[in-house]
Amino acid sequence: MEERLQKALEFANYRQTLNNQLHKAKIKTEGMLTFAKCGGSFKISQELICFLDYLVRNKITKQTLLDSNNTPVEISDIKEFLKEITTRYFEVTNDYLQEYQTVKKARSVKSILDIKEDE
Amino acid sequence: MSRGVLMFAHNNAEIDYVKIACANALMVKKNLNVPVTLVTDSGSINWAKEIMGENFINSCFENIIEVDRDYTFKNTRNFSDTSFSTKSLQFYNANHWQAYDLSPYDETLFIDVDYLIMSSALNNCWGSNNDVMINHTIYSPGESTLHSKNVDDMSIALYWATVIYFRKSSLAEHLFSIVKHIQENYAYYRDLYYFTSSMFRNDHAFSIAVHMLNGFSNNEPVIKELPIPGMLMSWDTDDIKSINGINDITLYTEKINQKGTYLLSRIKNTDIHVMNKQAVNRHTNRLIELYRDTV
Repeated sequence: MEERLQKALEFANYRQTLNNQLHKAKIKTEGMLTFAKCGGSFKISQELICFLDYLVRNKITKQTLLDSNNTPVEISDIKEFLKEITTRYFEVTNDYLQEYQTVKKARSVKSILDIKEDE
Repeated sequence: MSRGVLMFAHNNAEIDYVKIACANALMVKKNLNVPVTLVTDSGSINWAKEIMGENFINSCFENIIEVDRDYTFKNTRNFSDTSFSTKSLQFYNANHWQAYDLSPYDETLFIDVDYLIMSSALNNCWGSNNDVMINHTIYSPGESTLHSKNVDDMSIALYWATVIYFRKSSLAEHLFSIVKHIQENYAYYRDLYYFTSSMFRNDHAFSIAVHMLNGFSNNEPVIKELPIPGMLMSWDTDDIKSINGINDITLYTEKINQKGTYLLSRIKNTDIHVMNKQAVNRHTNRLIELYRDTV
């Protein structure tokens, strides 16, 4: 095979592997941002955090919220819920950042997947 | 409220499902920290005890339920080990409708032995308001989108019976009763729902049952999806390259429409359905070795 073509195909492989790893990291993050509370399943988002913060600032302690399936769920302690999801949000997004940067700066398939030379 | 995982394992001539179940049970204990019940038959469990020892088997499972295997049930399936090897073997999956009655738990995660638990994501199921949850959305290591499939091109949405959460409730009881009825009348439902394969698949039976329970519709489903974005599926054309460590696997993923051309894919802390059973079979010793010291 012509050398230039071989290099181009290697680069295509590298880009595909990179995109796949980033996509898997993104879905894993989405999964870890799912939070079960009072029988409901919530997707932790900046929107949910802001809304709960609004409720807390208005001294609302107990409120019915719609979960990811649009099922109404009564949350008995809004302040505690806000604390729990904020902590989870920071943990998960920090891990995501670390993984994202590791993959992004890798310049070969081997380094994306952290494969040792002797493997 | 008791909670636990339920697995079915019935060996065939080549695949040691009980051994895979042992590896996965250790992975469940490490990641979900709940007890595991195994449903099997005397032939499969006696073989497992002979090769792995009774003490080890008992350390993997809190309960072992032996059921009678219906040897008149013939269900031949093509088991691919990458695109280059396919074998026609018996696939005993005739009794999944019994899961509701056999489960000793109030809340059960009913999983296939080859759905390797490498994260705590499914712990979000416990205490859910939904009596039953089953997944429709999937993705694979070589693709970059979440998607779903139908039972056949002209048919209803395909739900994957790989992982089912259920609470002892009338809705769950109805679901499993309908699955039993579909199995008993499979030829009729195959014609009714326009699919051609004669092999009995629980995925099809559960998809039809979900469709029926939803009032013969896939709109506004009464049965919701699991609290995960999608189920990660490695097809039987893929292979396991290596088990790198706890919750860390590298796969050869066959490129779409490019037979025999692979991408490498590393899976960390994400549950995965490895459909290449021979590949899992080849790596069970390594999985057991890794996880047995962690639980």
